[in-house]
Amino acid sequence: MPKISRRNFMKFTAASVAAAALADKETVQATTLAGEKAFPLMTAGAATALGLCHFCSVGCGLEVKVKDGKIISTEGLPDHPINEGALCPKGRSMKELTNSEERLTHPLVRKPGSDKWEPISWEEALDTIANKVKEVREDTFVETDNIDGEDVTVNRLDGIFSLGSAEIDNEEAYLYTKFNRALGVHNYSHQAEI
Amino acid sequence: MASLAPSFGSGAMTNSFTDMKNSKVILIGGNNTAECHPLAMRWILEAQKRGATLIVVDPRFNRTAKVADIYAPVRPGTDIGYLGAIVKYIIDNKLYDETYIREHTNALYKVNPDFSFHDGLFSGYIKENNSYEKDSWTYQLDSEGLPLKADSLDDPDCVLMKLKEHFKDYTFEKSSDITGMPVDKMKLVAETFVNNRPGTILYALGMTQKSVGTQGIRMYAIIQLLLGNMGMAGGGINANRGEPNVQGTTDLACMAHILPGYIPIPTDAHPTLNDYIQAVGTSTGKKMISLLKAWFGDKATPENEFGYQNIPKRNSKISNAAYVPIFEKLNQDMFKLGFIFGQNPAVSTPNLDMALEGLSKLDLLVVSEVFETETSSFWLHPDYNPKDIKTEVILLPAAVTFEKDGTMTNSSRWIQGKKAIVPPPGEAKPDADIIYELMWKIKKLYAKSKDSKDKGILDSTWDYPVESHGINMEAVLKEINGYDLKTGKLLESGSQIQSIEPGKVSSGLGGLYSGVITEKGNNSLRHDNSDPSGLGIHAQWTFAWPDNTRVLWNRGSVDKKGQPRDKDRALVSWDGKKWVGDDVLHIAAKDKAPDTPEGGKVFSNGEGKGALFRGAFTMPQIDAPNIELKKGYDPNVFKAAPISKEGGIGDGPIPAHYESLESPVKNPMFSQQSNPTSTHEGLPEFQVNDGGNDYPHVLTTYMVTEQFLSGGVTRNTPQLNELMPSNFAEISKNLARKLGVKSGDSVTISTPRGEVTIDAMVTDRMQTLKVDGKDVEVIGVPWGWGFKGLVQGETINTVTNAGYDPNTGTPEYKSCACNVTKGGK
Repeated sequence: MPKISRRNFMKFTAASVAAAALADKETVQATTLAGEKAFPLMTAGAATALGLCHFCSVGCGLEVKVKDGKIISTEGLPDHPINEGALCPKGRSMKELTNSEERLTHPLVRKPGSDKWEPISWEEALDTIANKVKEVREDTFVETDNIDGEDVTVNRLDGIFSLGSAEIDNEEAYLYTKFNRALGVHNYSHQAEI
Repeated sequence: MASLAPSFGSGAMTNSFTDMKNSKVILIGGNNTAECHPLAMRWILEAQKRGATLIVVDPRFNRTAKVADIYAPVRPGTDIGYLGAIVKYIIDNKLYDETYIREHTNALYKVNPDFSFHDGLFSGYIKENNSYEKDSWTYQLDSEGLPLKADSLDDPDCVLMKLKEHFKDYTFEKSSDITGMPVDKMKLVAETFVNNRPGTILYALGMTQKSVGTQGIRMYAIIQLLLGNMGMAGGGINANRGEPNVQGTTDLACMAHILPGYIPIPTDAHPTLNDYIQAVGTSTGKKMISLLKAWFGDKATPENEFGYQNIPKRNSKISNAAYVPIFEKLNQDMFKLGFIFGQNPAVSTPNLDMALEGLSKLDLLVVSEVFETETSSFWLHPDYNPKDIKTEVILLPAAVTFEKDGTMTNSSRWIQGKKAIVPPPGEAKPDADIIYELMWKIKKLYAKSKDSKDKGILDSTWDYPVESHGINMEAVLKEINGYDLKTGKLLESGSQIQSIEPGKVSSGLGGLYSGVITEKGNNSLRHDNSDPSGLGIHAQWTFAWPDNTRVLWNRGSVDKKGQPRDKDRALVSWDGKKWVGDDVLHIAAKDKAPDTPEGGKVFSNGEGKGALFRGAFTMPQIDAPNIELKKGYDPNVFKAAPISKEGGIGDGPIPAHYESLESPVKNPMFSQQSNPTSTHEGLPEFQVNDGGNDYPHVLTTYMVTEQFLSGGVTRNTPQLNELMPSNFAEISKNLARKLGVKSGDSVTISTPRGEVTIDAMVTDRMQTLKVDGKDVEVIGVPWGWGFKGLVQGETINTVTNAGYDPNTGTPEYKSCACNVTKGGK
């Protein structure tokens, strides 16, 4: 199985370096106690990338500013035909969501009867899940069903359900569906049903 | 989308957000656009600026109503009541577009004389299993099996006259008794919407989360067909969907009853691929084989039915519903392992105790999330002792949208691409990589298996190129788009699947997204926002399915000669030799003149006609030979099988007013109180219902701008929590006076399923409704609150009803009976 290595994201922001250099020179005038003074823009030196809002389904475009590998602002994309630079408070908050300290950063496990999370490696987490998939398939798989006196191949996996998700990308949903159906999962749903 | 697809041919928002500026009238019923789709609202305001009239129908004077020209209140769950009065008004006064309904709908088709409707029940009702035999919901057919057409729209047998008869009792007065909408308001809504064309209708979960959700949307389809608004710029039916990629993930079929591209899941009634193709028709059959080629590659051959047996077959006796049944089966100990990716059912499930109890029955729960949620941490719920819960939970850290390549499909079918901007924090990963790696682990465990049940796993194509930041998403998009397998070239259009020999073409989506990525490049990344039409088409901005069509059914916008019916709103037209225009011609053949049958086709359902009456229908293959097919799969099946099939909608060919499953009101229309096919009592210990005696009010739920859906993300976002720090229950001043409650006081909302305590917000936005001479109070509560996150609150879904629409499985969140008392627990 091919391994996914540590991620390298430099190439995504490199394209916008020229634009960033321009922004470096821009300043904002402000009056302080000491008199009129020029301050560099918060976005000075930042690269610009296109993003999509991740809340409702209108599909607004975002102008994402990145500096030192971190998102420093999310504003409406002026060129996007739907939102034309405007955003609602949720779209505007996408910077805070991405950078949140509350984000999950490592796999966790909660053992039966325990009252706390414990760390688990990706390797162990995925092995545990894969082994459980196999165990439940062996226990609950239904190969044929008798329909009006005839055995029909149904290849249904009864003991596993899957939910999700209208929050993931098309390619991810495609793989999730392909994965679930390959296993034989037929108890399958997500937000669209409710 | 169980309603739009059988009405027209496919189910999705028909027009686009930027198209709404072209409307002369906009009816928003079942959607609070200003609150829930704020940037869609700019195009409604733009239409208003250009002179359009905005009508809002809602139980509550919401943020959208605030800017409406006409606001009309409606009792939750009774929309069919007032929409029936509009249909009656159109037909009685012959205000329909006669040319349009003659040419493009089934208005003239003669209905089976055995069809009837009496006191709330259609012909064919079987009381024992609460369902219908649909044999009489059919047309009169000629010797070739095609529908017989009446000569005149006044023929009592024709669909239009059946509609007229069906809605004859929906007078404005009677409908006002049902809905609580004042008669003069209802007349104004009807006159304004009917007399200004084109008009569009917007809806969302406010229509669908009901036991009559599908039939409510059918009313919209009927009205828009009668008025000739389908296919017009500024017309159509605009379903505003909820989550960022819910249109995409519906297309990709994260659902029980379909495979990607709306290909029906096989059931045990289709033991072989031949059986399946004969049941679904040749067009869908070809799509299915293209999907099997995408999933199983070279392992999919005609000899093994292209791997058809690897796909699980559903039980043919169960309905489409899967969500509530999953939680019922959990409580019946039927699952040992559950996967939940990016969803928070421990807030969003109606009758919430059912979900919490259910999850605790699992051996292992696997959750992929961005934040810890009520679902990942259900064992920490304040009502539970973690020691008693034996479920192991593995919580996998997921990347957010800025951290991964991929595409999302917005509500109006625009497939928009994006590139990763920053890396995920720590060891978090895109969901695609999690699924990819897990599948390889499972493939390895089965590597030596010769068991036929494991072929689906072993034969599944899973060799996606891996790059430094994860698997190559364009490779997945190409598999979705599909290939001509003879030339190895990416498909340009889904229509190629119909012309290439089955087995020689692949598409992971049965052609639905074909053209999104071609040999010329990735169209989801196109960023040319120009719009020479001035109509908001933006044909070069990303890509819209199908075939980059921006307004569905747009052949209906031109007349028989292919000339625009409205010169200011020209989407496509025939220049004498070819089709031209800023939009891509939909359904009609692109190489055929408008006065030919292929060039005149507007809709793609079984009949190719907009369905005012939606019964069962099979489009036969004329002169189909009587061939003995060899077992399993035989290519000759495409000569013998019907072209397409419509099954009809389970709860009736025409909508009727039924009360919500729980209602304090007796149905003013029929002795049949509620939808006779929605009699859901899966788990009586949880799903306690009540006739309404102790629960005199109506509870409805909704969302606010600042707290999104279950709140799993937004309640972890401080700037949004500052704007919306806590939950509230909106009650009328009248009810507040009776209870002795003022804003900020605690109230307890109870149903037979439990109670929650929330702060009251006493407001004019809620008005006491007059229903059949009686006062009815509506209580409104935002639903996205729970015990995790930076701000917390009791979850209203503890008390909502898990009864659901029989066609879609969508629970009746929008309306249940409740009581309200002063004070808290």
